[in-house]
Amino acid sequence: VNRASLVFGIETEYGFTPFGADGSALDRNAYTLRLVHGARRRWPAVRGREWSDVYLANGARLYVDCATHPEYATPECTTPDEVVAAVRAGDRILEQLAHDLERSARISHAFLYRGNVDYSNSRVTWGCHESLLHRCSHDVIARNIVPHLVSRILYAGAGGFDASSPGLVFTLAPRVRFTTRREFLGRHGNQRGLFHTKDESLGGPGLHRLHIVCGESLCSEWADYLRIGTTALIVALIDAGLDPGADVQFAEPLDAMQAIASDPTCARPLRMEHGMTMTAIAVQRHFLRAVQRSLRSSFMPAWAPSVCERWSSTLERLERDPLEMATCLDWPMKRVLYGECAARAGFSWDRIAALNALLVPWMLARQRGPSDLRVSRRVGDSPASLPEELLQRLRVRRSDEDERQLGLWPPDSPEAIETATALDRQGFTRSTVEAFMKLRDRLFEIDTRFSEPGRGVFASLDRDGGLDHRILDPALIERAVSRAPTTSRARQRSRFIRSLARESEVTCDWTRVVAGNRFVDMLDPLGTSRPRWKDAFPTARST
Amino acid sequence: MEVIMQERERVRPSNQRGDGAVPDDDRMADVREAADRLLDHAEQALERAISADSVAFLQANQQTIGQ
Repeated sequence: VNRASLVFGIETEYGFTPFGADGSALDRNAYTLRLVHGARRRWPAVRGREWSDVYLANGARLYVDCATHPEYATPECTTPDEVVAAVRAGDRILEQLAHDLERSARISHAFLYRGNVDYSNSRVTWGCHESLLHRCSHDVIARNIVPHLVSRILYAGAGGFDASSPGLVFTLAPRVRFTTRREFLGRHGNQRGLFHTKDESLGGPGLHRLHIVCGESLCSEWADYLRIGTTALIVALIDAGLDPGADVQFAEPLDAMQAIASDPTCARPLRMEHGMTMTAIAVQRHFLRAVQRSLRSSFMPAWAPSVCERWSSTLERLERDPLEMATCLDWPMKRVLYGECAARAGFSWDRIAALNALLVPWMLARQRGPSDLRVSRRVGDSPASLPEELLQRLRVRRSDEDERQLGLWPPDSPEAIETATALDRQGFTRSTVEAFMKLRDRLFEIDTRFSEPGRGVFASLDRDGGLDHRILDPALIERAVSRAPTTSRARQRSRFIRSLARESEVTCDWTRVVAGNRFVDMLDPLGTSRPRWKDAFPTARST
Repeated sequence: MEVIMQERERVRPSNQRGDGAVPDDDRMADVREAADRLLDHAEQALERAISADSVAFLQANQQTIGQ
């Protein structure tokens, strides 16, 4: 039995802004560190090898990433249920720490959220990375897993808007717009990939780690369960020597991902390497059948049939009508909610698309155009800076007597005149454009606040009983706040942390606990028996 | 709700639309039920999620580094 691919976990980057009593943002860096260190006052914890991280008694790591935001990495898990519980336990831990910070630091609101993109023109995105151990070579895993990573956004997309567009463009998966490479090694400025090629298994010889970096933070338990469950089963097939992705290679994987993310019908045909076209649902069905054919194999885990059942019903419902999943998956939920917000402001998705088609090319052309027309998009610009400039030009050029005529745009810009004429021809007035841009700002704010643990839109809907996304008994999530999974080395880490939390000379990382000049190795990810202490500096024997 | 049903019609794959297609009442009922349930609970949650000045909020919340 190849057990390597049954060890996995998820790390989540949280957006964080502390707000003062007057509503202004406070120094994020200082408070992020304070937030993370608060964990050691509330729970048994041991500091990590970095100054800014702690390991908790549930086996997880909580740390400050890039000096600016908190990040939570689940302990090593061996079932999708454990991962779903561990991720949500992370939410509860961070939520509690945010409350603690508000009480102790005179912060009116420690705004913490599982965002995916920043809607303020900064081009910042947050990662929600998966790690899965495997034994086969990187090249074999890469070729087989790419079609799955590209097409799984059908159910693993967080939903939201294209943060790089000056218009209002709904997307199944907002981070896809920023995914520009198939794979990457290290940081490449704003370039992001599907997975990372660093081979840092943290699991000893013969093991490798698939580090998927294109995932998104999901609120739905169902979506998170499917995301990790399907991916782990496909990795298990590949590790067993099968080739499940061979017949479903996209001709242009990143283009296909963009196409899937922009298609709420889930029905767009995509060009494949073999010359035919397939939909993302058909590609996912191909992987599902490959897993189902191996369900009786010894390398398949006991939970595989449950994943297949949920996977199959999800694809069936998405194919029948994606909005059937409106109470279960993140992006269809947002599609319905944001559609309703837009409708109340007088905009259907079709009307929004029509305005995007007219306004976005003009605004993008201005960004690229000659310097006198170029609009700065530096960090710090208002998210609405482009349309505001447009509207100001209209205001100064004409009176408000007849709102149905948008004419009198800058005479030196034929593109602007053309755009104004087209808007006018379709009956879009200045007040319509203003209302559209206001709607854009409001939806960006709602999407930013959607995933705030305990306080966001999703949490409210869940408390009110409006959703059907749950996989787990809530008691399991509560347990995962303080208890580690029992089937991986996280169990051992947890034991050491409980017994050594009060000692100041103890540090910890994923594979080792160090206390003074003694240490224990926990290199086997599935090792659950208590390891022995060793001396860091054994005394030399005299001969 | 009408907006949702229009959306449902719009997103339905073209091979399930078209002249002479028999409406699938069960499917429409499922979609309507899911959307209704969501919207019944959504109003207050959405209202709470909007501040007086969204632009000011987005600017104040602007992040600087991520992955």
